[in-house]
Amino acid sequence: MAQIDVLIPTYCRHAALAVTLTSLCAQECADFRLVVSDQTEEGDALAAGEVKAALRVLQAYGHAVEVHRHLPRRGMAEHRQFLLDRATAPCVLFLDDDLILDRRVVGNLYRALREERCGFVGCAVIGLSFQDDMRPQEQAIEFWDGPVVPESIGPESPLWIRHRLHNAANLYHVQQRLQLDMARPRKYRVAWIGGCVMYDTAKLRAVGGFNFWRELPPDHCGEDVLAQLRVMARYGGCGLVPSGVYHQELPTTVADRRIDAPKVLGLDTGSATSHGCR
Amino acid sequence: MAAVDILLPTCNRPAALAVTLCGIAAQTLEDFRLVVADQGDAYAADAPAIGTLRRLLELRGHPVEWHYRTERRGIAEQRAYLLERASAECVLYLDDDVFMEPWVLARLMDVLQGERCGFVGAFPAGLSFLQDVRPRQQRIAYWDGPVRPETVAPGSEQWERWHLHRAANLFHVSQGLAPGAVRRYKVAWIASCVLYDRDKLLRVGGFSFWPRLPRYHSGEEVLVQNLLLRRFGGCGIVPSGTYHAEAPSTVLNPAGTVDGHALALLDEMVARYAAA
Repeated sequence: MAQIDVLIPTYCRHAALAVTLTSLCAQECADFRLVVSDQTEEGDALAAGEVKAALRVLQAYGHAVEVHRHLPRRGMAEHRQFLLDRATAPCVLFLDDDLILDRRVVGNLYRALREERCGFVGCAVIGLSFQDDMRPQEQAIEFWDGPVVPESIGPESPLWIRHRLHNAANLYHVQQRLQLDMARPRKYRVAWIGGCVMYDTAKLRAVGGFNFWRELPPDHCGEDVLAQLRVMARYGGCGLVPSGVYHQELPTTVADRRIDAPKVLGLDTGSATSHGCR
Repeated sequence: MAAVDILLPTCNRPAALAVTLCGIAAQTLEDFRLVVADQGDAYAADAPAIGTLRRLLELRGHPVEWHYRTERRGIAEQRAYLLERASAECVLYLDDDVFMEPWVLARLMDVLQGERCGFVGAFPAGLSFLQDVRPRQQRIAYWDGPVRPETVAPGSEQWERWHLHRAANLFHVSQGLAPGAVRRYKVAWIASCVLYDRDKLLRVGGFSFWPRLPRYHSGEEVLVQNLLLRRFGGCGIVPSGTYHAEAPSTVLNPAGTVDGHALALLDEMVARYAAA
């Protein structure tokens, strides 16, 4: 059995998905299975030639590939839970459908998760169109020098501002300034990470996964943030720098961002808090 | 100066091009420059994924030249244009719908520099043919010793080697090799991902014959490779580590065919560049 299940939710972006899948074809760590779930309502993203070609390459190299059409759309949290329910590997890598990965990313995440035995490890996504937009005030970084331990952080916490390191190309600028190398990534403290996050499957399930989707309307965002906050509070989590993950920089497909999961539902698993919708 | 110039002609296939660039960005051999000749209706570099991949290549120290060319005079002219822009000792002609595994460029360079031959190719598998196993088209002749010059005349027995490059035949052959083995084999010609010794390519005239061909043509690489085979030899590698995105061709006329084949010039070109 593969050690990693790569889980990709996709919606209306077949060309971007093809590039993301191609990045997977080039990974040095090959011990993964792939599960893609498409919610494109008109047409079939998985039928696009470039997507089929990339899926065939992965299969030819012995990766088990599972593809699903998952409709109707009941929101991102439900889509992620659907994918998590398909997972059989001890680690799951949730990957957005619009990324470019350095060939060492999956291996780096897996090694770090094994070393720390924490809840998740992520590679934050860099927006290279911001390469000339230097933001020294958003480049504060705190490395984990000892073991990664649990941290409780919520939207009201002063540590929440850690997320600003993941804006624009800040993380890339930090990596350049400190001359960090993909061959020796360093672990740092996060509030949360979007786009490319590997979880210990059992630990993600132990905090309820994304089953909170029933408590949210279909139009929401921040579901990945909430799951990470809950995992981090119990098991810890960290980021890796250099991340090696880049945005293709397509417009988001989550248009309605008024319902932000961590602000509606709290860190405590299983119950809604009094925070209202913003 | 880079060790390799990757020469990439593209036309109206942004999704496949993005996949191709993604393969380039993952190469373990890092000493290359990229030159793109874009003949699409829209500027492909403006597509989001392509813009990001271009930036990524540049940030890693690969110079990228992007030429947007509105006038289309055929694929041989595109290749001639790209060759004029090259300055490296080796040039990789890469189609805009080919994914390369990370080791491919490094291996092609090892073979070309080791053999000192005219070209080395990595022919992409069309994996939609994965279940279409054709034992009769899987005949393969390996180079066990050094790659030597050879005359491969159209219609000869050696010419039949091209059947190996149909469907997924080469991929099926590769599955019978020992893990990790990469072998050199004899070709009639090879398309889509070919590394040339630039000086040797220029010594057989490059693609300067393009004005002699009709606008829609094929066989321009078959012709130059036939000349190179005669003078310097050439080969393919298996496994190739390359895959077709299997996007529709963009070099055909409105009727879906071509009006001429470069091999019509073969006798004359042999007399001029490869006479025994």
